[in-house]
Amino acid sequence: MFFAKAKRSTTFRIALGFMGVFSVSFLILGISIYLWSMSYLITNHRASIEANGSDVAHVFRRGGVEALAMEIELRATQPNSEYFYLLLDRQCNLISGRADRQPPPDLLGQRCAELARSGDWFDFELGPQAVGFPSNLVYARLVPLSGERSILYGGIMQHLDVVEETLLAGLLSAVVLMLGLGVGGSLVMSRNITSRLRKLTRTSREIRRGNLASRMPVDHTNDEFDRLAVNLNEMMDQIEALMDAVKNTSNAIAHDLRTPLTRLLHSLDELRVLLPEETNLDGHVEQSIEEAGKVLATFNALLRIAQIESGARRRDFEPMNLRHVITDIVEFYWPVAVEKGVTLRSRLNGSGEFVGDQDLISQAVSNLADNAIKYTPPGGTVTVGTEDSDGGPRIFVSDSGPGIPENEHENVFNRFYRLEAHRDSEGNGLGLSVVDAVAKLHGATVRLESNDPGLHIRVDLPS
Amino acid sequence: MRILLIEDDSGVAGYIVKGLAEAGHTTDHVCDGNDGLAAAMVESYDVIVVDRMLPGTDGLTIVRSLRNKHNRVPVIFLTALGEVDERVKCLRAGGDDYLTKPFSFSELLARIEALLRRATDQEESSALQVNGLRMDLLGRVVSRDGNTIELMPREFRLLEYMMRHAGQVVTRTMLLEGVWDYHFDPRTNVIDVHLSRIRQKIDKGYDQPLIHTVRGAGYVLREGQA
Repeated sequence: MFFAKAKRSTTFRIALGFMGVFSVSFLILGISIYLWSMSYLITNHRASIEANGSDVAHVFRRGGVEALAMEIELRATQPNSEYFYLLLDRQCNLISGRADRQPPPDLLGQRCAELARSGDWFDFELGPQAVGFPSNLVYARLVPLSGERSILYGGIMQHLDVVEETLLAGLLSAVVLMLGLGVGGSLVMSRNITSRLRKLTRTSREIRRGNLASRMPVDHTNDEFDRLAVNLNEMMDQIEALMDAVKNTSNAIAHDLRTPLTRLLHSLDELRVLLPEETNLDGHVEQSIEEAGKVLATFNALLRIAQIESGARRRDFEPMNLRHVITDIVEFYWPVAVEKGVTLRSRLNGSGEFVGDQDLISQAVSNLADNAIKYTPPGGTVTVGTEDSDGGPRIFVSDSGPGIPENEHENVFNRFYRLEAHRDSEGNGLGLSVVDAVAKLHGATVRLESNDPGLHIRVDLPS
Repeated sequence: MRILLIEDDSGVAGYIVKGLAEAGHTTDHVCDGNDGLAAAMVESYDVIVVDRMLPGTDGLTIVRSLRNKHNRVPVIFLTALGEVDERVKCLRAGGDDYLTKPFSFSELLARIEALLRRATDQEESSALQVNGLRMDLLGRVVSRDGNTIELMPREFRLLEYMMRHAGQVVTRTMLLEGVWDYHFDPRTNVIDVHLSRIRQKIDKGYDQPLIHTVRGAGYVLREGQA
């Protein structure tokens, strides 16, 4: 399980890649050592055979064939000698020497003349296992002598097999050890790096959720991870400073514009009280108060959106039930719908369990219901409901109004955006911006679909 | 009634003091948080109106200090920040009500008078009565001059709120908060539609209307003229 997880880690893959490259070079080195050792051993062995062979050939040059035959017989009686000598005729039939050291008849029968002429080294295996030797591999040469005779001298390769086995076993265990250490090391390394990266990921997720004060852990080792963390922290300091500046600016604007607006409202309020009943200015004052109130409402809506978007409200998330929220909103708007001749109904499916800010969810549903009733002509129907979807609970509002053209679907969430057809009606173009901000705060997505006729809005909340 | 106003914006303070004087209340005004806390500790007030942000001691600290001394005087917070979670902070600190600047004076006055009433009549009765209009809270029956009036559950709560505040102006925001527990602006005048429906049921066919519209402020439930 851990291995499967590690396979997805880049560090682990890089470590494995390096191990692969290293293994290949180690293999090349191993093969070189093996080939070089083998060739060295064989060369050495041949040199020994040659040295012994030339001794015997010397006997021939001094004493002729008889002396040679005697010498060979003599040497053949020495027990367990790795070297041996055979006196052969031109057809490679044995004249004297140990019969159990003869090459296989098919080898000599076919290549007798050729081997005698060239004098090349050849190797063969003794038929029966040579007594007392770990190996039966023989290196030999065939040298023609005068008088229709040839001498074959050779030596049993005693150590080659052992050396070969030892070498191969050594190389193999080194490879196994290296693979084990490599995989283990890669796991440890990737685990170490992954855990450090995970800390960075966790912090960045926290920051993304709105906790701008969160910082990457710094362990003062001044390695590349530490330097990355320090850099990211400095970046976050700057972002936070900028965010604060923006917030302070908007707060300053809010304060600076709200205070005179408040005074304006207060003056109008006093004016209304002071005006004598008989003057006809009353209506004008009333209207001015109403207009100033609308400016303030727009202003408050903007501040509210900004506040929702800052993410500070996440602190107040609590378990809530969407069924209750929707039931209440439908009940709240019901008289408005009745007055307009629109059928307003709720459709409640699923548990409706959700963790969020009930006040904000209520406001979002209220805005959606408000819009739907506003744009649905008398005789139409508005449905507000909740249901379970794959990802979590869903809130939907559908109406039988004129709907919104598909190409406008993306724009409706923009602040102050209003459809051409609705320019003259009440509203400030911030209703759906509030819905969008509330949805984003809760990690939800808002989708608009055509309802044929009308509009179907879905808010998919996370579970 | 004696009211303490702790507010550093002299424009807002002047407007409030003047309005309260016209409504027949005596107001002590201090600009600084420390002076405000001292005044609240020493003097006895019926209601305290305190700004959230003050020089010296801030509003939240003043109210917390009072509550720690078991001073139960009703408190209304004023705030200019427009922070949505301020309401929760203010109520947790021991505030009784909360008002975001800018507010109309009628809104503040309505809330002050609601708090004054709450402080004086605390006894729980099983029925409410305003002239011929009677509400049985246990049986959940409403009648006027002996004729039973059918109300839906939320209409019942709306009328109950109006009757508990009989003779006082209740604003749309107060109804929104008190009856529906909504702390946002629902954009359409939904409250007015609810009021006109309940009016149909309560006042239709009677010579004396009980629910009156107070222009620029809200509604009042009482006999006679508004």
